[in-house]
Amino acid sequence: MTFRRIYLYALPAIAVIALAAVFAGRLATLDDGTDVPPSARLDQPMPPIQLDSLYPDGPALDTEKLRGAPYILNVWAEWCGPCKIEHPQLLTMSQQGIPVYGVNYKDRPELARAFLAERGDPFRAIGADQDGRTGIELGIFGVPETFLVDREGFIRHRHAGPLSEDDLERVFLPFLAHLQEPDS
Amino acid sequence: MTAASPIIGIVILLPILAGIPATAETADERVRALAAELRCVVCQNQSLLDSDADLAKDMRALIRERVAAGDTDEAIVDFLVERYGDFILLQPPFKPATWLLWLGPLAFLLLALALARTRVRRARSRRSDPGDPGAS
Repeated sequence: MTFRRIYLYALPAIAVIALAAVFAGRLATLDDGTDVPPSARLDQPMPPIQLDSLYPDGPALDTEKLRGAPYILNVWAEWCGPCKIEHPQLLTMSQQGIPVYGVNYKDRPELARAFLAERGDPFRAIGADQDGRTGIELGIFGVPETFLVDREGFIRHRHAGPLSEDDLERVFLPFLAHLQEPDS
Repeated sequence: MTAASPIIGIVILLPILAGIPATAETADERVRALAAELRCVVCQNQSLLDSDADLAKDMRALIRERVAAGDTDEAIVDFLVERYGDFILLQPPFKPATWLLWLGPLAFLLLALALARTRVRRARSRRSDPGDPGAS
């Protein structure tokens, strides 16, 4: 009798602790330095994107032609501060031979080109998303965002916010190495 | 204005022709109604309608285009959900993943009522039978 009553009184406390555990778990999965939920595009095929190059004579960006090998797609803009912070990480990846492609989001082309001329251009192809529709197509919340796409063209990882050296070492390089394995 | 009016006319006429009662909204009202139930993903507690963020403006423009093109409300919402997930809906949908969210409060209410009932019953039986050390 008394034991049952104690148990009943403990019920709300148990419920609160259980809920706290659920919320903490959910928060932990969001804890990538941003308050952005997981991408709805995760584990979905990369949407077909065709964009003219940022350069007058550069190669166009066409995601349909990128099947066959894993690649990185980075959405950035010259006017975006965090994009400057992550730029060295993109250069590192491209120097390691990783295919890095870019979407220049709602930018002034001449400023974007000057940015790349000054800091280095890591992109095999860089499309100019003048009206921001490609950004919406990718479901971006802001810039920068970086997508990791496998050889079948499926988005396997989305990073919102600037890529740090740590993100590169801990997440991107191991993930890419895994995707590049012959039978991954 | 004159170039757009035939399109607007068609947009207004379509639902009427489709048998929807005469409360047919104008294209502009439809855009506003849709934007009001969608979340601005930049400033997350505002709707697309209330937000001044660039991305919200772009999304309103996109909704306007799709309304003008004759898309249904459902198609437009589905388009954005495909890209941004249920997160973009200010009112979460009722589906297995959200049953706890929608039914949780009701479940707690029922639980509380059940507990209250047993307590009241016990108190009553104690009063009517003071000799009983407690109902088992």
